[in-house]
Amino acid sequence: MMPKELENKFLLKSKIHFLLVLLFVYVILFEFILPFNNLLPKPSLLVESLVQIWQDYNLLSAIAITTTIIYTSLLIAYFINYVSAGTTIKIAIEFPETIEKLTLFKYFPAFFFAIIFSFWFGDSIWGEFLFALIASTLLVIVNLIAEIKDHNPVFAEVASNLGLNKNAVYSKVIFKDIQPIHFSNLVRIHYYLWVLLMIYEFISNINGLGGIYRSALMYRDFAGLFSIALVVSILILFGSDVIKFIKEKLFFWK
Amino acid sequence: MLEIKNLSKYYSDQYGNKVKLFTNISFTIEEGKITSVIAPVGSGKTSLLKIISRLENPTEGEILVNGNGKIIYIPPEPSSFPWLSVKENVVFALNSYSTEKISEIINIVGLEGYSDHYPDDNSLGFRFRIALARSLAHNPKCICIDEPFNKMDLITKLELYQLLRKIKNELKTTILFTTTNITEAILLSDRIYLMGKEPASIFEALQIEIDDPRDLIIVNSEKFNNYIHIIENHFKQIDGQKILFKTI
Repeated sequence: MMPKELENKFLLKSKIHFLLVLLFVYVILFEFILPFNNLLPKPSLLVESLVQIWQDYNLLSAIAITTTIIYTSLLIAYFINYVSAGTTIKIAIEFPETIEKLTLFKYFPAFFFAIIFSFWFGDSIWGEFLFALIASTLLVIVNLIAEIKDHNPVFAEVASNLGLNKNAVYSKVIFKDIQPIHFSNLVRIHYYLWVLLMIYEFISNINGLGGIYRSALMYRDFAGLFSIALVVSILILFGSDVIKFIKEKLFFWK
Repeated sequence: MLEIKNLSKYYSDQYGNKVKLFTNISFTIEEGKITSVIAPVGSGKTSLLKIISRLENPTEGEILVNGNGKIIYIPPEPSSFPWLSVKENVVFALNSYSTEKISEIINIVGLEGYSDHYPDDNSLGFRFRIALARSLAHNPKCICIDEPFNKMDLITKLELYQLLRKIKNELKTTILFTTTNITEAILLSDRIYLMGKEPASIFEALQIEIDDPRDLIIVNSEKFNNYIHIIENHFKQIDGQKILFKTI
């Protein structure tokens, strides 16, 4: 077995151990010592709620809506970025002052855009999809620009010496070189997208997971809030693992 | 033949002062021969090779090339693209190529049976062979190799010395390389140029007349040691320069 695989296996084991210890402490503390409190729900109540939320809040349909919008928009954003990577890198390298001017927008709070889209499109799912698509495309492109500094200049130099023109160097060499790290960063982007989309759905009261949160908060469903968070974290964990798996398969060289 | 005429390279330091890296460098690179430049660290060897390969512009001087063909630069760091297989690396940036010729080149550099393998980060020798094959595929006028063997183990170095001599003898490829290693330069070269420092310039040329095969046995020969002494004495004569050169 490879040392890296051993290391991963060890890390997974220690994560599971840590989780089990936390679970044990949680059960002992909140089931037997502090059963009634406003910090965390009673474990037995949480288990009960995990079964109920599927019917009470139509969770399956909410999961379908939110995950479809997040992952479809992320896929399209990556495709747009893949096709335009050469041009993006060209602009970033040849016109750095343009990029510098655009960085002004980073001080705008991201949720402002969620609010303004909600204002424009109301509770329309297409409005949410458009918001997700624009947000993910911008996040992916901004990430690509930030990663350019990590490329190996030797590759670009060699390619240029072999007769490749500048545009081809940008798309065939620099982008290829940073593609593994760029794809890995999709995990981070996808966390961010989850947060943004949940905020959007919460504000617009769309029947997604953010909308369900709004309902749970309205009904003061304490255990429900935690159950939904648990479901969302499992979905995010699954999504990140899928992205990591694809990265390992597609970008084997890093 | 390549003729380097009065090349000078200046750069500005952090205070805006003009600093001379090297001045008035003139030498010729004979076709089908291995030429080397021995110089201390920081004398501008990399810049010199990059200027000859048209990757950088000189401040003054010119490079006269007799005939057509690319001047290919092989950097000291591994430069084969890790996302491409050996064969894809070799045909990289070629508009058209013959499969037989590519296979022949892959075989010559000792990568027979590895066409579909990918460059391994840990194997510098393997990656150097790929870079060499890629350069040969372009049918170059000259291959400029920048201190290629620095981080390699002795066995890999010796194999690659033999390979470069074989390529020079069989394909009549013109090779220019830079090094700080006197033994390496004598083992490989047909002609050696000695370059000083601050600001660097070429101060001596030496024709190496040792028959092939140039293996480790000849390192102990009187002729070989004579060359080493000549080179060491030349460097000692440069005022105030304490230069430590590696031997193999």
